[in-house]
Amino acid sequence: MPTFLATLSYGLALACVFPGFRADSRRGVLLALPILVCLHLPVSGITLLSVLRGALGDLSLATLVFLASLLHGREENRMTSRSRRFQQVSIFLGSLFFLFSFGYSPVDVYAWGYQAAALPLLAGGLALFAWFFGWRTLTVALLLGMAGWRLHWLDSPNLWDYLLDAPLLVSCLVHGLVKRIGAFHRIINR
Amino acid sequence: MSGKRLLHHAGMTVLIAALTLWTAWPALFRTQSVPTRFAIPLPLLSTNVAPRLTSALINQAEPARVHAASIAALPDGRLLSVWFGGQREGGTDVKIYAADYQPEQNLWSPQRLLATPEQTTADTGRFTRKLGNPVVFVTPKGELWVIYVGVALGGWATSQLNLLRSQDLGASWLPAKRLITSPFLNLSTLVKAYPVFFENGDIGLPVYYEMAGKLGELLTLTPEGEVRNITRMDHGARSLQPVVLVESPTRAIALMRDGDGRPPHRVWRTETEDAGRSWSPLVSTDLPNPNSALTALRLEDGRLLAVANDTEDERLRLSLLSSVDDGWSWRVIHRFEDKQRFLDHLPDKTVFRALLADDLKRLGNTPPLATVAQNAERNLCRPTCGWQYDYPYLIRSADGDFHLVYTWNRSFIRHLRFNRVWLEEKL
Repeated sequence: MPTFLATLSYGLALACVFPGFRADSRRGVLLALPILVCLHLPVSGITLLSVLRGALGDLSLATLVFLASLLHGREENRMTSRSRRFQQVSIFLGSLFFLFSFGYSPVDVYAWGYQAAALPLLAGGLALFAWFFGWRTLTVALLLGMAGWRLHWLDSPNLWDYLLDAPLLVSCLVHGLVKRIGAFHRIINR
Repeated sequence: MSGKRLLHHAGMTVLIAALTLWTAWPALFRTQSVPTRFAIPLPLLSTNVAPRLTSALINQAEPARVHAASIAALPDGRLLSVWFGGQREGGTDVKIYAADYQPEQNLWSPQRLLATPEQTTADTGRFTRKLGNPVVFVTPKGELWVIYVGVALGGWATSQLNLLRSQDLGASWLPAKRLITSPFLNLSTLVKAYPVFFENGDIGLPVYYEMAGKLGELLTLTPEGEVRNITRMDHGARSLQPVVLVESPTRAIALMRDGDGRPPHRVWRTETEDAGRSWSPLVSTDLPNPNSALTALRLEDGRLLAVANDTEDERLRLSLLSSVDDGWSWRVIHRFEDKQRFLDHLPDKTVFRALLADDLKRLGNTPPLATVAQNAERNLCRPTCGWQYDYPYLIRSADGDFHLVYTWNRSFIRHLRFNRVWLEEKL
């Protein structure tokens, strides 16, 4: 299961940056298959998937949901407001989380993800909140992450690793930054 | 709000609540076994009556550079040592090697290959470019485990841990498995010291983090090799490579290498009263430490033994020390290696060669002496030559004897075996 999910999430991540996808999502779907195959093609005994998993680890299930949502949004050639909300929440929670995880604080937030009841309850509460505010992507991401953790779909025993990852935070930050710069340029050129 | 919409919301609320309860269930109702008590090691009685200290070099002359040895006593009486070796530390040709020791014959077997970056990549499905510190031990269930460091990109700070398991004491090995231990790309968990065990069969492995901060951690693994949790023993950027010494089912102390660049350079000490779930703030001991690894053991009578570089600068000296006050203060009882007098005037190759000849006589069964000298010069002289004795690892075997392995001048793994009678003479 971890290898299958890693293939899917890295395949979708690569598909998202592939130019053909942006122009025509149907053609992009056809391209997704070769991408998934390419991830497993060995070059000198090493596959692209093993390099990505070795260097970046496994992507969270929340990232998988976000990538799927991004691709769905591309069909309308725009990022949906749901994805945008997910992006904002990810940046906020992710920044806080990683700040605490580097070891400088006596509070070890990562440890909450092992066996404590508090984090699943918090994630459930956030999922409920997100649902009533209409943030469907966030709701699905949280629920899938929680279910995946309970069923041990990834190699990690820590709930955080199902809900957040550094590539998700970095891509959200970069995407948000690019959008802001674009908006700023439009105002200047107006 | 229409009835249909209300029903939709109600249904989703029930689904979310049910999923949340199901996810939180194991923690809420304690359906999982959580380690709460350390297993106390059985007392070992030495059978030898005459004092004894023997020496041997474990590895062969190739590869030329070796480091980070560990050693385990196997249930069949053998000892197994593992270390990493290559042309240079951090090189992509570095591999993990192993050798067996037959105590009756006082003889090490030829070294054999245990793990390579390629095999680790294939086993774990995750690219591994280079290998580092391995630790070997026998679990309470009788399995032989080797946990070793692997790096995909970057230096040691980006290390990840891999687990090799053998159910037949090293005759065959299961495929290596990557341990997921860190939130940021699973980076920066390293290992150096032997584990402690819990009464429920779990394994507590002292590990450390050194990417942004530098701190010791206790990684708890299930008997099947799954990560149970990881507990920080400190925060900040000052402590590395913890060694945990269990005193009672709930109490233990840990000693740590000083990773802080600021003086005074001393070994750190912390303690737990709840079997490792929480640790007291770090306090410095009186044992000098030049930012290098140490090893320690607790004797049956409560005294502590340590082997460490008891200097504040280089690793020119390796000493055996004892403590009678639970690790706060230390007394040197023997020097295994001592070149501290050369600290301010390291010799050139000619002088070094002459001095090395004296050392070689004390090493025991070795590869050809010319080869030993050649490797030592290659690894130590640029252009002056500085000795290096470091990364000690001390255990006791079932017969009560002590076995110390350490890196001898970056070139060889030296094994010293001494018995309780020899130790008592020093104490």
